[in-house]
Amino acid sequence: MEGWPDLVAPTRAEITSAVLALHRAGVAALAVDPAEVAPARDLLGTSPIAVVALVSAPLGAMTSGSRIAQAELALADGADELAVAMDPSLVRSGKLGRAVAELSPLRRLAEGRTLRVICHLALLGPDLGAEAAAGAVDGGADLIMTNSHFDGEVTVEQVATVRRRVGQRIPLVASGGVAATSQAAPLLLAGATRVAVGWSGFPLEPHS
Amino acid sequence: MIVTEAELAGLIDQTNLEMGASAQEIADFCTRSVPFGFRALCLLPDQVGVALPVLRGTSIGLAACVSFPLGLDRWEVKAREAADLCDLEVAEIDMVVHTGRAREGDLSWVEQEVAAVRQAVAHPRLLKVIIEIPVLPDELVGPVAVAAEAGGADLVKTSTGYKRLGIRATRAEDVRLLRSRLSPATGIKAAGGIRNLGQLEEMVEAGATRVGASRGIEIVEEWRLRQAGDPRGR
Repeated sequence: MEGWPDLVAPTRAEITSAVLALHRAGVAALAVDPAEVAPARDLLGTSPIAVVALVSAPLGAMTSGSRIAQAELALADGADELAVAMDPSLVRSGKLGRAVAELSPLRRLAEGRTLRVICHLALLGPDLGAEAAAGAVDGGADLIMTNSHFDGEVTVEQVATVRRRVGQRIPLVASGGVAATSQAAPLLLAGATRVAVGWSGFPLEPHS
Repeated sequence: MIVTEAELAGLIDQTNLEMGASAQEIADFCTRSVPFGFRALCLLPDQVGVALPVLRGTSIGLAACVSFPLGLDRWEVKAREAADLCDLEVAEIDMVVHTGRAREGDLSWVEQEVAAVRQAVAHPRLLKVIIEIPVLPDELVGPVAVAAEAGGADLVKTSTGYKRLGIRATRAEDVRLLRSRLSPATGIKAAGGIRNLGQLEEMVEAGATRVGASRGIEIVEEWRLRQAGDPRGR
C-alpha cells in the first residue's frame, strides 16, 4: 500500500496527523504535494517509507520551466521519488511524443531515483491511457501510476489494460479514488504492484 | 447596473479550465468566444500556446492560472510559472494561494507568496489572487484577502470554481465581505457556479468588478434575449 493525498488543501497539523498514521500503517510510500516534501521527510526521519513528490499534479498542465523548478526543489527538499503527471491535453491532442519529451529533463534530474509517471487512465480511457503509459516507459519512467487524484477512479480494466501494454517488468501503482485498503485486492489481482489509498482511508489516531 | 452588452462582456472572464481539453477543443472555445468581446479568456497554462494565435489582434486579453487548483506549491515554483506565462504574452495571471496555509491562517505565507508572484507579473499585467473562500474558516476570509492585497493583488478572486474539488458555489455575501475589507482600488473577481445573467448581476451588485464564468456566451445571449423583450432573458 501507498498513501495518496486526498484531503483538500490540508493544514500542516492535518498533514502531520496523516503522515504519522500512514507510518503506523506501514505503507511503502507516501505521495505529498510539493510544499510538503521537507516536512514529511522530517517527520519520517530514518523510516524506510519513500517520500514521493507530486510534480505537475493533479492536472499535468504546468509550464515546462515551473515543472522542472518544482522537481528540483522537491529533490533538494529530500524527495526519494518523483511522480510526474503527464500532460493529458497533449495526449488527447495526438501529441503523445511531446508529452513524453517533457519527461526528459525530469528523468535527468531524478538520476538514480525512481521516476513515476501518472497516466490519467480514467480521463483518457484505458486504450489511450495505456498508450500514454507505454510512451512514458519509453521516455524513462521506472513506474506507472494510473491516475492523479482528479482523474477519477482506477478500475480493474485500467490496470489490466496497462499491464498488458507495458508488460510485467514495470511496477504499476493503481491510483485514483481508492478510499480504503479493502478495495485493493481486485486491483492487485489485475496486475497492480501496489495500490495508492487516500490519506483519509487511514485512521488518524492509533487503535487503542 | 449593467447598461450595455459591451459593458457586460467587459466584466466576464470567459473560462475553460477543463482538465485534458484537447488543442482543438480549446481553439474552438476561443474562436466561439472572440465575437462576444469578453474582457479575457481564462485558461490553464498548457493551453496558452493554442489560444494566443486566435486572440492576436483582438481586444480580448489572455489570462492563465498559476498553481491551479490547490496552490500547494512553494512560492518559487509559482513565481516561475507566472514568469513563464508572462514571457508568453499572457496579460493576466490568476494565481491560487496555498490553500492549506490559508486555512491555517498563515497570513505571512500568503502575503509573501503573492509578493513573489507580483515580482514576476509587472504592471500593467494584472495579478488576480484566488483565496478559495468555500474552504476557509469564515473568520479567516477577510484577513487572507487583506494579506493577498498587501502582497500586491490587483484583484482578489473568491474561488477557483473548480468543480472537481466538490466545493460550494460563490455567494454574493462572499463578494460583499471582500468589498468591506479591501481598499476600493482592489478589484474583486467572483467565480464559481455563476451560470446565468441573474447570478452575474447579483455578484456585480455585491461589488464584483469581474466575473469568471464558463458559460459567458450563454450569459451574453441571455442578455440579448432580455433586451429583445424575450421572457427567456431573465
